[in-house]
Amino acid sequence: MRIAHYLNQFFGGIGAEEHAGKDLEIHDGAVGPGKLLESLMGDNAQVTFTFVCGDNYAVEHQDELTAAVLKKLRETKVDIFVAGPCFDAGRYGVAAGALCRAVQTELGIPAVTAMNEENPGVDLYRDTVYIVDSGINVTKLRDIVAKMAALGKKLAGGEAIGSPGKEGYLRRGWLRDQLVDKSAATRLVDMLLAKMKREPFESEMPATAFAPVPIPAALKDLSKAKLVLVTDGGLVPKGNPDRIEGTAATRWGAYNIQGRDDLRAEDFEVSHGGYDTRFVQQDPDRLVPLDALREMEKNGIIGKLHDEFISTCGRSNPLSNTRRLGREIAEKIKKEGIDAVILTST
Amino acid sequence: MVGSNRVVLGTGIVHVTGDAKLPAAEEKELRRRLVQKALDALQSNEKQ
Amino acid sequence: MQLTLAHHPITDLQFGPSAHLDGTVLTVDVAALRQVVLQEASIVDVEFDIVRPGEPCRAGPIFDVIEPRAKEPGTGEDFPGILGAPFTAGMGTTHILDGAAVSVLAEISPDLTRSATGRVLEMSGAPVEASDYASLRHLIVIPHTKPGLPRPAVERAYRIAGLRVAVELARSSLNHTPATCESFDPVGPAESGRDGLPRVVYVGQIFSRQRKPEVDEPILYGANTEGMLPIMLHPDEWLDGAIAPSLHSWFGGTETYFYQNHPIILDLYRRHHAREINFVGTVATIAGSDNFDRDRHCRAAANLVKWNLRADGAVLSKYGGGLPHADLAETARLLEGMGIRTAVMVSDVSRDRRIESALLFNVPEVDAIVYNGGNGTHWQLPRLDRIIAATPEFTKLLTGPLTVDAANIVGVTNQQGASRMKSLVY
Repeated sequence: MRIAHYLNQFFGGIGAEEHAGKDLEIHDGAVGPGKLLESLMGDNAQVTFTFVCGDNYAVEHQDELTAAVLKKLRETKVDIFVAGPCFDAGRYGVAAGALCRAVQTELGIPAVTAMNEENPGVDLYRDTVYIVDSGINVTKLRDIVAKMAALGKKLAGGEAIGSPGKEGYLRRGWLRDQLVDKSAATRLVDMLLAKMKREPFESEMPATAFAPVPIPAALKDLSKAKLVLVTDGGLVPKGNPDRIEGTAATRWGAYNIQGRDDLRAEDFEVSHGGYDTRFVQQDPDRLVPLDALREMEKNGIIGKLHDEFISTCGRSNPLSNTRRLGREIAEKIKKEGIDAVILTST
Repeated sequence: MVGSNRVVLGTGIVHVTGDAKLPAAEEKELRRRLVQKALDALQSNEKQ
Repeated sequence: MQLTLAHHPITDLQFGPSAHLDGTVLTVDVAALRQVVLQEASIVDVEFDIVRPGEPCRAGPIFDVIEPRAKEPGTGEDFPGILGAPFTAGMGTTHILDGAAVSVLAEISPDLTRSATGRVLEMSGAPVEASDYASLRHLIVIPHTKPGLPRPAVERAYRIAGLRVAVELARSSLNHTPATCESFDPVGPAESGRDGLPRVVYVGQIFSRQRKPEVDEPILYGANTEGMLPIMLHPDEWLDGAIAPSLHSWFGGTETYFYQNHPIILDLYRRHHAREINFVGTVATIAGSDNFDRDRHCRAAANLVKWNLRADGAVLSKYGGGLPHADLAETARLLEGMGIRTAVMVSDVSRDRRIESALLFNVPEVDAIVYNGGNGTHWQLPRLDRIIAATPEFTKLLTGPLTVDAANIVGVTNQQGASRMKSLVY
């Protein structure tokens, strides 16, 4: 088995932080922990060559580094690409993750790395790259390299990879359906009884914690402010011209309300499968309160109401859609010079 | 990052800024009050 | 409460001039059943068909699946409050045709935003191992309603007609000796002889106020639950016809069959009988229409569990779509705060198969979660010659070959605990 290994300046034997700006070197054979790696990956395993690069250089010149690594791997074929272990070195982890992903995507070569769960490389790459959980303790190097070797062998051999717990990699964040013998009811009661007896149990789903959004500064002068109405309740013009889906919507639309003092039932319909839409259909202002805001605009309470309202459907919509929808809508809103948004949500 | 810092409670899922049980004039007044609450929130730096 | 379930195993269904049970073969009289169905004025015509496990056939969209059951006359009402007076369910003797089911088709797909085909009953091929319904013999009811009726009226007719047919079928077993009889150990908050056993409660949502129920929508003893607060029910009330699914079938799956054979209640009864727990009762609750409604319901339910049922632990299930997960988590959070341990069962909301999209709540104490899967599984269904549907459009749509999501094969995903499809995190 032919291994290509990536190490930073420290593990590559060049030196510590003062050498973080070192550019890429390619050495024949194994360097540093690479020797341990190759001994643990089996009799025929050999590190064909080792990439060594300074952490700062790797991050500042990521594209060039990636291109150089790919070029070398195109010239000299390997069976597996191993990066690190990186422990809690953040620049190292980010570089390792990026290279692993590029190698997989561009060359179809399996890759594995290792880092501590808090390493910024994890959030960026965990869903596409196998990252062995290394913890922060560098004295555990041998154990971690052993896990990388075992996982690397399986990947190179095209074997099925087991659960994160079994194989030692950080949960990648994906779900797969699995048909089991026990009904959900039985699993539910089993789990409760274990919890009540203070026995260990494994929840079938972990929660995800999200970083909070910092609060944007309040409006200083409402009477000069430009506002826009946005909704995720799926209100669309009759005929749904932008074909906004009623579930897991991938599209949003901006609809002209210039000169209108209220929204009329005959002009709109609702594309949203998650609530009883007849009340909004009877009077769309019950979802998008144009009439109230138009009055406030006329009375000078607000400066201006933007000429369009923006709409999409929030039902069963995963973050992988809504992050993009939110970003696109935000870009449009910024372009229009809008100061504040009223978002109505069902 | 996920979440909203300024949240005002509407009148239920099926009519966020309305109330089908009210006569028209009262419903409009309810809507005005809800929207005013939203505008007040936009002028405050307090997370709600 | 003492409910006796009289089991009559059925190995085949067949059509014949008069309805009767001969050993384990049930003969079905379609002329008589037609009269039963046409009692619903909204239904102007009806056909019937029979499907058996392994037969290469497909029926859909499925409106409901009901187990044929009939009360021993004089011992209670069939589907009280819905078909008859609202006497308490769960007493007397109920005769059951085990291995049989009545499946009612709809003429339109229940949720067009989710699926053109609606829920499909697939009796052969790959989906069979994932749905308990594939191992039953079904009498399919194919109703034709008056054109132009509002959808709730149509759905109500399907509901009532289906329940009536299920009762009528089971009546053939009334003068027969059941193969086995089953009754459960007594359940209640004050049952003696169970000191020291952990007191466990089931809290189940039976409706979600994401939509308003119809005035005549039969859910709990025929009442539509509007304005209702949580209520304590004896487990046998769930099993013996007190509750029907609401008219719209939500994602996640709920059928009358799995109220009658409620997997969570039956599992709790098993542990109760084995003296692992003291099953003290259940609470039926409702997912709220807004935050105040949610707070009101969750607190009321938690209070019943804590002060009336005096539970040590509770298992909770939801009804409806995504929003009811908030009610589920809030009720569990309140219970944990009262010292009552909880485990909750959720539906698969992760359409992009990422963990970050999988849970609609993040409550540290609500850490025992059973996750019903299904969003990542599709089956390629082959072209079949035998398609049972109420309209030519659906016959064409269901003929195949077609790709169907797991959630659209009836019985694969289920909010009552019947599903065997879980989600593996990796």
